Amino acid sequence: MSPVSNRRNDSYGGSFENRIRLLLEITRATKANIPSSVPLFVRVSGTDWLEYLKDEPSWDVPQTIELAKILADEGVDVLDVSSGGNDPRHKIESGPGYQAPFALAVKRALGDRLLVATVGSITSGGQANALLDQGLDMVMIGRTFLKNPGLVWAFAEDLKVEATIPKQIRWAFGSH
Amino acid sequence: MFISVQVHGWPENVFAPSARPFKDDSIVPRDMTQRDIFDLVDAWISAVKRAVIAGFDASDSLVVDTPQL
Repeated sequence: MSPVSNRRNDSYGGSFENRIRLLLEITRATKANIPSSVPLFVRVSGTDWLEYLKDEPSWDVPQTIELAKILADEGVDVLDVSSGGNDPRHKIESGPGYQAPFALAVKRALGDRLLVATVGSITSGGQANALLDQGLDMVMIGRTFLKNPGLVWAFAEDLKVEATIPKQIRWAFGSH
Repeated sequence: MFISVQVHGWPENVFAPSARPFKDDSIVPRDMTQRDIFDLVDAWISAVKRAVIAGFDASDSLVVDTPQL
Protein backbone atom coordinates (compact mmCIF):
# COMPACT_ATOMS: atom_id res chain seq x y z
CA MET A 1 0.00 0.00 0.00
CA SER A 2 2.94 2.31 0.55
CA PRO A 3 4.14 4.31 -2.44
CA VAL A 4 7.64 4.02 -0.94
CA SER A 5 7.92 0.31 -1.67
CA ASN A 6 5.19 -0.01 -4.30
CA ARG A 7 6.40 1.63 -7.53
CA ARG A 8 4.15 -0.41 -9.81
CA ASN A 9 2.51 1.15 -12.82
CA ASP A 10 -0.22 -1.45 -13.28
CA SER A 11 -3.60 -1.63 -11.53
CA TYR A 12 -1.89 -2.49 -8.20
CA GLY A 13 0.27 0.65 -7.95
CA GLY A 14 0.16 4.39 -8.30
CA SER A 15 -3.13 5.82 -7.04
CA PHE A 16 -4.48 5.17 -3.52
CA GLU A 17 -7.23 3.01 -5.01
CA ASN A 18 -4.67 0.88 -6.86
CA ARG A 19 -2.32 0.55 -3.88
CA ILE A 20 -5.09 -0.78 -1.62
CA ARG A 21 -6.46 -3.11 -4.32
CA LEU A 22 -4.65 -6.26 -3.16
CA LEU A 23 -5.79 -5.74 0.45
CA LEU A 24 -9.40 -5.27 -0.69
CA GLU A 25 -9.24 -8.41 -2.84
CA ILE A 26 -7.88 -10.40 0.07
CA THR A 27 -10.37 -8.87 2.51
CA ARG A 28 -13.32 -9.80 0.29
CA ALA A 29 -11.95 -13.29 -0.35
CA THR A 30 -11.42 -13.83 3.37
CA LYS A 31 -14.85 -12.48 4.32
CA ALA A 32 -16.48 -14.75 1.72
CA ASN A 33 -14.78 -17.84 3.13
CA ILE A 34 -15.24 -17.48 6.89
CA PRO A 35 -18.44 -18.12 8.86
CA SER A 36 -20.30 -14.97 9.93
CA SER A 37 -19.47 -15.93 13.54
CA VAL A 38 -15.72 -15.49 12.90
CA PRO A 39 -14.54 -11.88 13.32
CA LEU A 40 -12.24 -10.49 10.64
CA PHE A 41 -9.26 -8.44 11.80
CA VAL A 42 -6.94 -6.49 9.50
CA ARG A 43 -3.53 -5.31 10.64
CA VAL A 44 -2.11 -2.25 8.93
CA SER A 45 0.72 0.17 9.26
CA GLY A 46 -0.56 3.57 10.43
CA THR A 47 2.42 5.39 8.95
CA ASP A 48 5.81 4.80 7.28
CA TRP A 49 7.27 7.51 9.62
CA LEU A 50 8.53 9.29 6.50
CA GLU A 51 6.33 12.42 6.59
CA TYR A 52 9.50 14.49 7.06
CA LEU A 53 10.46 13.67 3.45
CA LYS A 54 8.26 16.43 2.09
CA ASP A 55 8.85 15.63 -1.58
CA GLU A 56 8.39 11.88 -1.36
CA PRO A 57 4.94 10.31 -1.01
CA SER A 58 4.64 7.73 1.77
CA TRP A 59 1.94 5.92 3.74
CA ASP A 60 0.48 8.10 6.50
CA VAL A 61 -2.40 8.51 8.96
CA PRO A 62 -4.85 10.27 6.58
CA GLN A 63 -4.54 7.34 4.13
CA THR A 64 -4.97 4.88 7.01
CA ILE A 65 -8.23 6.64 7.96
CA GLU A 66 -9.49 6.54 4.35
CA LEU A 67 -8.61 2.85 4.20
CA ALA A 68 -10.36 2.20 7.53
CA LYS A 69 -13.61 3.68 6.18
CA ILE A 70 -13.46 1.37 3.15
CA LEU A 71 -12.61 -1.67 5.29
CA ALA A 72 -15.51 -0.91 7.63
CA ASP A 73 -17.84 -0.91 4.62
CA GLU A 74 -16.34 -4.26 3.55
CA GLY A 75 -17.34 -5.82 6.87
CA VAL A 76 -13.98 -5.84 8.65
CA ASP A 77 -14.60 -6.08 12.40
CA VAL A 78 -11.27 -4.94 13.86
CA LEU A 79 -8.47 -2.74 12.54
CA ASP A 80 -5.16 -3.42 14.25
CA VAL A 81 -2.86 -0.40 13.77
CA SER A 82 0.92 -0.88 13.81
CA SER A 83 3.54 1.23 11.97
CA GLY A 84 6.91 1.53 10.29
CA GLY A 85 9.46 -1.06 9.18
CA ASN A 86 9.06 -0.35 5.49
CA ASP A 87 12.04 1.92 4.78
CA PRO A 88 15.31 2.35 6.68
CA ARG A 89 14.93 6.15 6.54
CA HIS A 90 11.92 5.98 8.88
CA LYS A 91 12.20 8.21 11.95
CA ILE A 92 10.35 6.20 14.58
CA GLU A 93 9.60 8.00 17.82
CA SER A 94 9.63 4.96 20.07
CA GLY A 95 8.37 4.75 23.66
CA PRO A 96 5.53 3.30 25.73
CA GLY A 97 2.44 2.88 23.55
CA TYR A 98 4.15 4.85 20.78
CA GLN A 99 1.76 3.64 18.06
CA ALA A 100 -1.42 4.42 20.02
CA PRO A 101 -1.82 7.92 18.48
CA PHE A 102 -2.36 6.32 15.04
CA ALA A 103 -5.04 3.97 16.39
CA LEU A 104 -6.69 6.86 18.27
CA ALA A 105 -6.79 8.97 15.10
CA VAL A 106 -8.58 6.13 13.30
CA LYS A 107 -10.97 5.60 16.23
CA ARG A 108 -11.87 9.29 16.36
CA ALA A 109 -12.59 9.32 12.61
CA LEU A 110 -14.50 6.03 12.50
CA GLY A 111 -16.39 5.97 15.81
CA ASP A 112 -18.50 2.84 16.14
CA ARG A 113 -18.11 1.78 12.50
CA LEU A 114 -15.09 -0.37 13.38
CA LEU A 115 -13.29 -1.67 16.46
CA VAL A 116 -9.74 -0.31 16.63
CA ALA A 117 -6.77 -1.98 18.30
CA THR A 118 -3.37 -0.61 19.22
CA VAL A 119 -0.08 -2.50 19.55
CA GLY A 120 3.53 -1.71 20.44
CA SER A 121 5.49 -1.29 23.70
CA ILE A 122 2.54 -2.03 25.96
CA THR A 123 4.07 -3.67 29.01
CA SER A 124 1.72 -3.35 31.99
CA GLY A 125 -1.92 -3.89 32.82
CA GLY A 126 -2.31 -0.30 33.96
CA GLN A 127 -0.88 1.05 30.71
CA ALA A 128 -3.14 -1.24 28.66
CA ASN A 129 -6.20 -0.14 30.63
CA ALA A 130 -5.29 3.54 30.21
CA LEU A 131 -5.26 3.06 26.42
CA LEU A 132 -8.74 1.54 26.57
CA ASP A 133 -9.88 4.45 28.75
CA GLN A 134 -8.74 6.81 25.97
CA GLY A 135 -11.33 5.21 23.69
CA LEU A 136 -9.51 2.35 21.98
CA ASP A 137 -11.34 -0.97 21.75
CA MET A 138 -8.49 -3.46 22.08
CA VAL A 139 -4.84 -3.72 23.03
CA MET A 140 -2.72 -6.26 21.15
CA ILE A 141 0.50 -7.62 22.65
CA GLY A 142 3.36 -9.22 20.74
CA ARG A 143 6.89 -8.80 22.02
CA THR A 144 5.85 -8.48 25.66
CA PHE A 145 4.44 -12.02 25.44
CA LEU A 146 7.75 -13.26 24.01
CA LYS A 147 9.44 -11.96 27.16
CA ASN A 148 6.73 -13.22 29.54
CA PRO A 149 4.41 -16.02 28.38
CA GLY A 150 2.57 -15.58 31.70
CA LEU A 151 1.60 -12.04 30.75
CA VAL A 152 -2.16 -12.42 31.16
CA TRP A 153 -1.57 -13.39 34.78
CA ALA A 154 0.92 -10.54 35.28
CA PHE A 155 -1.54 -7.98 33.84
CA ALA A 156 -4.32 -9.41 36.05
CA GLU A 157 -2.10 -8.91 39.10
CA ASP A 158 -1.29 -5.33 37.95
CA LEU A 159 -5.03 -4.66 37.79
CA LYS A 160 -5.89 -6.67 40.93
CA VAL A 161 -8.35 -8.85 39.05
CA GLU A 162 -8.68 -12.63 38.81
CA ALA A 163 -7.46 -14.42 35.69
CA THR A 164 -8.44 -17.99 34.90
CA ILE A 165 -5.26 -20.05 35.30
CA PRO A 166 -5.05 -23.77 34.48
CA LYS A 167 -5.69 -25.71 37.68
CA GLN A 168 -2.47 -27.71 37.40
CA ILE A 169 -0.51 -24.43 37.59
CA ARG A 170 -2.80 -22.46 39.88
CA TRP A 171 -2.75 -25.07 42.67
CA ALA A 172 0.93 -24.41 43.27
CA PHE A 173 0.13 -20.80 44.22
CA GLY A 174 -2.60 -21.53 46.79
CA SER A 175 -6.27 -22.36 46.89
CA HIS A 176 -8.14 -20.29 44.28
CA MET B 1 20.53 -9.91 7.38
CA PHE B 2 18.60 -12.63 5.59
CA ILE B 3 18.21 -16.39 5.86
CA SER B 4 20.64 -17.99 3.41
CA VAL B 5 20.05 -21.03 1.21
CA GLN B 6 22.43 -22.98 3.47
CA VAL B 7 19.89 -22.77 6.30
CA HIS B 8 16.90 -23.32 4.01
CA GLY B 9 16.06 -19.70 3.24
CA TRP B 10 14.90 -18.55 -0.21
CA PRO B 11 16.73 -15.27 -0.92
CA GLU B 12 16.42 -15.80 -4.69
CA ASN B 13 12.66 -16.16 -4.46
CA VAL B 14 11.39 -13.21 -2.40
CA PHE B 15 8.35 -11.44 -3.84
CA ALA B 16 7.57 -7.72 -3.47
CA PRO B 17 5.46 -5.05 -5.18
CA SER B 18 8.62 -3.67 -6.80
CA ALA B 19 12.18 -4.93 -7.20
CA ARG B 20 13.61 -2.60 -4.56
CA PRO B 21 15.94 -3.79 -1.79
CA PHE B 22 15.11 -2.57 1.76
CA LYS B 23 18.68 -1.28 2.12
CA ASP B 24 21.52 -1.16 -0.41
CA ASP B 25 22.98 -4.39 0.97
CA SER B 26 19.63 -6.20 1.26
CA ILE B 27 18.54 -8.83 -1.21
CA VAL B 28 16.69 -7.60 -4.28
CA PRO B 29 13.16 -9.04 -4.34
CA ARG B 30 11.25 -9.97 -7.50
CA ASP B 31 8.46 -7.64 -8.48
CA MET B 32 5.28 -9.67 -8.64
CA THR B 33 3.56 -10.20 -11.98
CA GLN B 34 -0.23 -9.99 -12.11
CA ARG B 35 -0.18 -13.79 -12.33
CA ASP B 36 1.82 -13.90 -9.08
CA ILE B 37 -0.80 -11.67 -7.45
CA PHE B 38 -3.66 -13.91 -8.61
CA ASP B 39 -1.75 -16.96 -7.30
CA LEU B 40 -1.24 -15.17 -3.96
CA VAL B 41 -4.97 -14.47 -3.61
CA ASP B 42 -5.77 -18.11 -4.50
CA ALA B 43 -3.25 -19.36 -1.93
CA TRP B 44 -4.70 -16.93 0.62
CA ILE B 45 -8.20 -18.33 0.06
CA SER B 46 -6.86 -21.87 0.54
CA ALA B 47 -5.21 -20.78 3.79
CA VAL B 48 -8.45 -19.18 5.02
CA LYS B 49 -10.33 -22.41 4.31
CA ARG B 50 -7.73 -24.45 6.22
CA ALA B 51 -7.93 -22.02 9.14
CA VAL B 52 -11.72 -22.37 9.28
CA ILE B 53 -11.44 -26.19 9.20
CA ALA B 54 -8.80 -26.03 11.94
CA GLY B 55 -11.30 -24.12 14.08
CA PHE B 56 -9.58 -20.78 14.66
CA ASP B 57 -11.78 -18.17 16.40
CA ALA B 58 -10.69 -15.09 14.39
CA SER B 59 -8.76 -14.20 11.24
CA ASP B 60 -6.17 -11.37 11.31
CA SER B 61 -5.06 -10.40 7.80
CA LEU B 62 -1.60 -8.85 7.61
CA VAL B 63 -1.06 -7.42 4.15
CA VAL B 64 1.36 -4.62 4.94
CA ASP B 65 4.80 -4.53 3.40
CA THR B 66 7.07 -6.71 5.49
CA PRO B 67 10.47 -5.31 6.39
CA GLN B 68 13.46 -7.12 4.91
CA LEU B 69 16.09 -6.64 7.57
